[in-house]
Amino acid sequence: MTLPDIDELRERLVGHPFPGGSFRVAEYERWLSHDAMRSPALAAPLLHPVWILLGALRGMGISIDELTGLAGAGAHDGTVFGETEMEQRRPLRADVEYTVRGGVADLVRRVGRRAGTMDLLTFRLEIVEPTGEVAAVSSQTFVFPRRDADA
Amino acid sequence: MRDLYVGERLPELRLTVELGAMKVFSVLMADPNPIHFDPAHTAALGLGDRPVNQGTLTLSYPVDALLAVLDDPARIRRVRCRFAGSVVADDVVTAGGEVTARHPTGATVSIWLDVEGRGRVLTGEVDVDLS
Repeated sequence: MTLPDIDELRERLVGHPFPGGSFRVAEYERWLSHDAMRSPALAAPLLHPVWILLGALRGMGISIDELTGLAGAGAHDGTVFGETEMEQRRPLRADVEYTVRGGVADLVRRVGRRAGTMDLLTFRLEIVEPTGEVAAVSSQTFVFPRRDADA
Repeated sequence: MRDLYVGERLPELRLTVELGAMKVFSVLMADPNPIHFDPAHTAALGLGDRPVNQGTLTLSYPVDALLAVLDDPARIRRVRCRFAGSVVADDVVTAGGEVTARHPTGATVSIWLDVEGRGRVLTGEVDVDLS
């Protein structure tokens, strides 16, 4: 895959809104996820804070594969999580229908001495209560290695 | 309410990453990427026969170490983290943290995750509300 032009990518993607959507975590999913995380006991219906990331990904209305494609990368290019930030204004709860809205916040190209050329795409998503209040905000950076640039 | 003081270290959480839990997480996340559950797939990619843990699951361990000392998950206000390496099935990991600052209404806690034999793979900071 050829190296995408960074200016064209930024022009096309930064500010690009995702379709958005909604998610609801059923009680059995709460139980299973907390068991998988080895979480300490949390009183029902409270969700582990990591559900901010999971819920945002569930409800953003675009798959990781589609997001990777938007950035001009492929499924086998070795896309990885870079930095992650989550803000919890109030804990998420099972059996509540949350709305997710947001999109691409930034895209920069970096050249590392060992890692080579890579694009860092940051997307920011708000998780909104049925009342309209923002319960949590997720901001994640995906790292897309651009090995073609270093060939 | 449990207070925190600068220099206080969280009790370490040590565990073995289980492929079974990773499979459950793939279903919960509706994540079809076999790198997280199929040893044959990771082997074909030259990554060995131990699937790669989901980043969100990896992050949950140091957050768990902090949750274990807080009496209310609502006290966690902000988590920032950086992934510096992968965790794979059967890895033995140790999650920990240390209180680095105490403010009038809260604290900042440095968190990390170490993999036995490979060192630190995640670092981060958590803002905790103690008001």
